[in-house]
Amino acid sequence: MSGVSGLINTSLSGLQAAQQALQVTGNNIANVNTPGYSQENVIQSTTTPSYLGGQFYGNGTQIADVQRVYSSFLQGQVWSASAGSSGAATLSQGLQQILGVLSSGSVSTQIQQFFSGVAQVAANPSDIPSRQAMLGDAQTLSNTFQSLGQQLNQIGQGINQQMQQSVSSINQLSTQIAQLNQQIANSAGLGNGTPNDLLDQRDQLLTELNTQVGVQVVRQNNSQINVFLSNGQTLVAGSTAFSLKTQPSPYNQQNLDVAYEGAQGSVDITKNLSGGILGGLLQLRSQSLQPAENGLGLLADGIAAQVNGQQAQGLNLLGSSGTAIFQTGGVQIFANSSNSSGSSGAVLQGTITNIGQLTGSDYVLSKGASGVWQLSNASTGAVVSTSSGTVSSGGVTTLDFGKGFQVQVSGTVAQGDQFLVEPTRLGATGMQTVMSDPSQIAAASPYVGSPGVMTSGALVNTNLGNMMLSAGQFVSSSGAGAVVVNGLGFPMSGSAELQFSSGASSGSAAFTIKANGTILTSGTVALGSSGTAIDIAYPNDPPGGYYQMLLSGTLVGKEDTITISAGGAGSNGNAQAMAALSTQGIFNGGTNNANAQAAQLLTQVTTQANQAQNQAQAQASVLSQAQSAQQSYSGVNLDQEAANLILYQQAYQAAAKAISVGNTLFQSLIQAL
Amino acid sequence: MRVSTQQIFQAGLSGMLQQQSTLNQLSQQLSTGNALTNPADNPTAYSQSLNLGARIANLQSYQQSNQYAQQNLQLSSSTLQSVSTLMNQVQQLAVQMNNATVNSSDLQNAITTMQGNLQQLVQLANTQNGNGQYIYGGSTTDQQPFALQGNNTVLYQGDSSQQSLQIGPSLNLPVSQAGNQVFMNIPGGNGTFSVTADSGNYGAGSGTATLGPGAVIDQSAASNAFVAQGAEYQVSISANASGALSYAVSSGTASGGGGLTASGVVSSGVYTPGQSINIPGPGGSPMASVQAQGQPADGQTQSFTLAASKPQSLFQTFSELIQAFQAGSGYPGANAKRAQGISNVLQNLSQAQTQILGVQAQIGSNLQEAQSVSSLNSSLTTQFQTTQSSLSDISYPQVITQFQESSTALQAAQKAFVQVQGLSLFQYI
Repeated sequence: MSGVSGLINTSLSGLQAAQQALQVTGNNIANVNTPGYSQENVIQSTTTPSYLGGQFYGNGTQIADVQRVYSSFLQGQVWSASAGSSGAATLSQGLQQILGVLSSGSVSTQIQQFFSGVAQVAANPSDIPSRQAMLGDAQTLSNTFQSLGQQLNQIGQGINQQMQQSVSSINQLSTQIAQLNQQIANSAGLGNGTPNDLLDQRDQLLTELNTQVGVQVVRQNNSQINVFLSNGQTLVAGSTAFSLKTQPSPYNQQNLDVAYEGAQGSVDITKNLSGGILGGLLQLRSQSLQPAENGLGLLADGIAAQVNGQQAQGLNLLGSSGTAIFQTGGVQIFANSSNSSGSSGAVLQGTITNIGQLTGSDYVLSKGASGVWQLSNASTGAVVSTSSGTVSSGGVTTLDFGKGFQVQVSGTVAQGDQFLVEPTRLGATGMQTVMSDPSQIAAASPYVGSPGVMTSGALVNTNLGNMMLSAGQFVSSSGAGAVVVNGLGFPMSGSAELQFSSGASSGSAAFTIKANGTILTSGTVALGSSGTAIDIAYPNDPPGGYYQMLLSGTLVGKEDTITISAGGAGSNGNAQAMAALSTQGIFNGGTNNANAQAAQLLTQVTTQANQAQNQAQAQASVLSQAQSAQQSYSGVNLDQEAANLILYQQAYQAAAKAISVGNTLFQSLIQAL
Repeated sequence: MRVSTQQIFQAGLSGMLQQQSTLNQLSQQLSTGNALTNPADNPTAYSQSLNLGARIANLQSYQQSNQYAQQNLQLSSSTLQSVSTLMNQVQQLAVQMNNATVNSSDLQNAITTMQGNLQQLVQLANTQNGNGQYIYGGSTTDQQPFALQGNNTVLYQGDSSQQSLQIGPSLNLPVSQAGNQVFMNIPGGNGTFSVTADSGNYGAGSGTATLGPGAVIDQSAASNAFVAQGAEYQVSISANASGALSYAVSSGTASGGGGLTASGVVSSGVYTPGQSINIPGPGGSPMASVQAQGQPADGQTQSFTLAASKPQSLFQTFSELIQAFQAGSGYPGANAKRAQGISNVLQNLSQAQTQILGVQAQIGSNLQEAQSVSSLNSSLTTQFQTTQSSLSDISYPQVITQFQESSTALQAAQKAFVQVQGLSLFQYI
């Protein structure tokens, strides 16, 4: 167009362009606080010029594009940093919770308090108030373990709840993303503009999705995006969304696993998720919470087993053998829900046999070909060992893989069936003090040797020699050269006599051990040497083993007798041994005592918490870096918009003035005619 | 670099939140005085602090046992002191009565005194501690271990069990002594053999021969002969009708009725009063010797049996002294019988004193050990506590300075935030 109308039309285009630019600027200003909004720039271009009189005359301007200032690289950085940061933050928070539970419970103090109470009983074995206090300490200890175990369990339930919330958020987000994909596809067909707001919304949803679980975004060439989980499974493909769901674990119905609902049914993807809140929760549960629960259970199991075992070696105030003080939760065994129905009648029971071999790991037991069972680590899947076990006459197979526990299988199990074994998970939650009568604490030694013969309740000593039987101790196996005594009775009724048949002053002397007139065993002792060990066998297991006393001396008279009787109320040998358990290595192959093990557990959790804290801080700063990089590119700067306002306002005013000039020209032209 | 408006707010805000969080943590440390309020901040210090806490508690448990140990040992020691004093009194009385000039009323008083002494000894042996437990009963602590019978004998109803307490790592200290080891199993005679006068030795008109407790010359031969072989020897001192004195030593084994089945004379000779008679061992050389005093009446043979020493209780010694006093007085036979009895009693008392001194020495050394272990443990405890406090206690000057710095930083962040918010182009257009 040329002439006055050309001027007016051209200015009009400028006016319209300025108007539209102002609209875009106004949109930017209005959306300054909208999360995920990328600023929009107006790109103007000239319209097609006209060729008139040998010259090209421009025809004004047009809005070529409302361009979204967007860098997919920077946005991708924000997405992956979000996944990393929220995952690390979730892990760190969870570990702080676990650490808070364990450190506030002051397990070490309670353990020490209990053993200190035992030492008091050792100092006053027949004093009832000291015994009462020891039982009180035992109660406090078992309550502490129980409460800590329950608190950890509650954290586990909290994780389950959070997982459910996360999975439902993920499903919601994927559905929304799929819908947006659809809308964007529809809008892309209309003209050559891009639906900026929809794209921004979709990006924001993807950021939120990454916060929940780490995903990978792949752009298709029609401005569609596909979203994949970190193991490659599709979450969103075009306008179709696939969903995740939580389902009970195949072994333990109380644990939730995450499954993917694909075309062929649901697939368990728990081990494959990483990043985001969901990934953080799963990592927290498998790498921090379950080991902490197992470690606490192991500690409880160990202390209870040692104390109960020591009780079984001594006599209580009533003169009978000691019974258990503590009871702990047993070995948990779950059958896989997909085991064959032929195995439904099988019963598996686990017991702990050797505390030193327990590791605090969980295991999967599976039955292989020809009756060979395989034990593998539940978290890594590595095979630990295989065994066919020993089959008893009743058809019960006993399996022991040297990991501190035994499994007894009764009934038939089909090949390929699997079972989850958690040896120490319930140790702490199930810990109880089952003894309430203080006189049942077994403080007394089972046997005492006194020179002389017991006659109507009095000890009469007519020995000519100087043979003595020392105070005894527990040994688990009998050594070479020891004289083993079976059938002495525990607790002993009456007394037994160790009698020398003839006198001697050098060489060796022969003796017999007789109880109630029956000769139980005989042996010899070398005079003047370190002596001969007399190993009195405990009839039951626990405790198994022997009570070993040492017979020594240099001179024997004919028919010299040493009486063996049960320890009385003032004997403190067993209480002493029980108090010494506090410094005895029980755990980890016998290298850790109870306090060292408790410290190790706490140190493990503390170190994990420290690492998680550092990681969370590092990831948070990576996220803020990524965010500020993205913001600096795509964020709205109000000062910039203010400047733009002025820019386009002036352009508008100028264009309006140009129109007004055009009008004036036209008026003068009209008036001239 | 271009900064978006949101970013300006975010940066300022996160700076303020960071400073607030630091300030909060520092104020928590200040109010509790504990540097490890968040264990995850310093896992090494936390784990060291836990280990130290366990060791301190362990030491405190040892210290408590140590106190009990010392109390028990001191009670036993002071009781044995009283026993020792009583034995000295009895010894003096025995020596006093070993005199031909005492009459029956002196003896009667002595008997009454000794019966009182015996009861006192039984009472001392049945000492109870503060909790009412009998300290000399072995493991029988809830009933009296020593029971005085009507015939002045004392039965022991306990056993040989000894209590020990752990006062340090691998350090078990015996804190009690079994009553039979202290009072009952005292070696009779001279420890290897004892001398018993035959019952027919002393009567009206009999002689005055007595035989002392004897000494061992060849210990291994004597132990072998008396203890291992169960041999017994009889020393007979005879005076024939004309007053010629001789002695004979014969050996044999104990017969069932308590007498000696002699199997031959191993040594004999002329006897002079005050002579030391040698007892030959199996090889012929003397293995023991006994000192004889006095002489038999004409035509009388006074015999003494030497047998392996059996354990003799202190109570039995006291009651033998009473029997010696009951032997009568006024004629040589009675005096000799009394002298023989007192001689044996004095030997037994000396053995008992050795035994009790030995026990007291053991108690003393145990007490010393307990005390030195106690002071060692106490200084160890202090050392550990110092280390623990250096790990877990805050250094107030340091934390207060950090708090001030943080507080200043927070104020600066807030001020900067306000300043930056005021800068907007919209204020000028």
